[in-house]
Amino acid sequence: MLKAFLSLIESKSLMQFKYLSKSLIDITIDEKDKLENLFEFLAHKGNTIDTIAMQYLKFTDYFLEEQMFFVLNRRYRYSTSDEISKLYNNREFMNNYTIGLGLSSYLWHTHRVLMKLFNKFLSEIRGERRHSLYFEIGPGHGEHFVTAMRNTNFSKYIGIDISETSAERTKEFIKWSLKENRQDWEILNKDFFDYEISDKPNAIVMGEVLEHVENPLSFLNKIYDISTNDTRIYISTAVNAPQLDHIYLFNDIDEVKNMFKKAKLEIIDMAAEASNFASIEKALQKKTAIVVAFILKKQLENN
Amino acid sequence: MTREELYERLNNVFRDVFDDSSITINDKTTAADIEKWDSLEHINLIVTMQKEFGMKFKMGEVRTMKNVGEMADIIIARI
Ligand SMILES: C[S@@+](CC[C@H](N)C(=O)[O-])C[C@H]1O[C@@H](n2cnc3c(N)ncnc32)[C@H](O)[C@@H]1O
Repeated sequence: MLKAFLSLIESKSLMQFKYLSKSLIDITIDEKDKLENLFEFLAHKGNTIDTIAMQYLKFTDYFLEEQMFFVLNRRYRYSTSDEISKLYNNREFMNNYTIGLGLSSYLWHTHRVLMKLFNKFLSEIRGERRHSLYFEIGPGHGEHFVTAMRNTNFSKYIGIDISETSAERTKEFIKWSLKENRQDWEILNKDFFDYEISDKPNAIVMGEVLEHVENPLSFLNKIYDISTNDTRIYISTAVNAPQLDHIYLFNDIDEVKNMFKKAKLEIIDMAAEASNFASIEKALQKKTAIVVAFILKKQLENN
Repeated sequence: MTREELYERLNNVFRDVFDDSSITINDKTTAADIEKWDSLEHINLIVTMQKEFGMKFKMGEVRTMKNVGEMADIIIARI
């Protein structure tokens, strides 16, 4: 379906088509398969390739509008959860947004670079113990959660998402992608802050959540509290990356690293990729978007 | 400003944004004619034009402008 999707994009927006063509230059067969899986899931939910293309273009329109706002004002449009909660209640917006964001996981080279680090993270933690827990905060579209369920052997997988739409969407995506009827997972529609976790997770994943919250440090502190010395943590976020529901602005990569330091989380590995294949230096200088992902662990007490 | 004068300044903006001194634009120039002109560079182009001419494009226009001629019409009407 990718071919049909791209030719529709070409007929509707040449500039977006050019962006995607460049972005897809180094896509792997595995990533293409995942993208096809997502197209098939969306089709199974009743979307035609035409509506998928239109929804993706709407998503990129929101994105371009915020980009303009950011270049002119050097800040994100909104800065509080209250302001963006209105967006989350807007069905049409959420629909376009979730579809666009899900597709961008593989369509955009920036997101594919993060996925590569995520796969590395999974291959290092695998988890074969009898009582072992994978815990994900804000699975959103469910792409990471499903990848983890496919490639690791934890005894339990728990995902928690504050948005009902996202929680439902993740559940559907899991059921659809993992055809066998697995009983080892649970998706909860809850705020991470109000959630009392009974077991300490062996792996914690939080993709693209920090930039959506007013106080990201408090999220990191809570992650620290629920980790053991052996817990491995994967966190991704974005720097200078305007989107309607981004409210916390990281101005550079060091700001993210310093926040980890404050939360007593130690960086084991990281990846960073700037939009449009720019170098990180150039992107920082021009204040264009960079996505970053980290593998972390709890800093030992005496450090 | 005459259309010719506008085009001279527009040409400089294009050369600057796309970092290509061989660019020569006309009314019919579109993204198909300039290799680097994609959706992300489009934003840089629009912002640079707004600064150069001290005017603003509407978001609807940013999305739908098809060629340089349409851009020039909007700029002329607004400065
Ligand atoms: C941009 S999506 C991230 C999707 C996916 N993890 C990724 O990396 O692309 C952010 C998700 O975090 C969820 N979220 C935001 N605040 C949260 C909170 N306090 N507790 C749980 N989930 C939250 C949102 O509902 C949304 O689904």
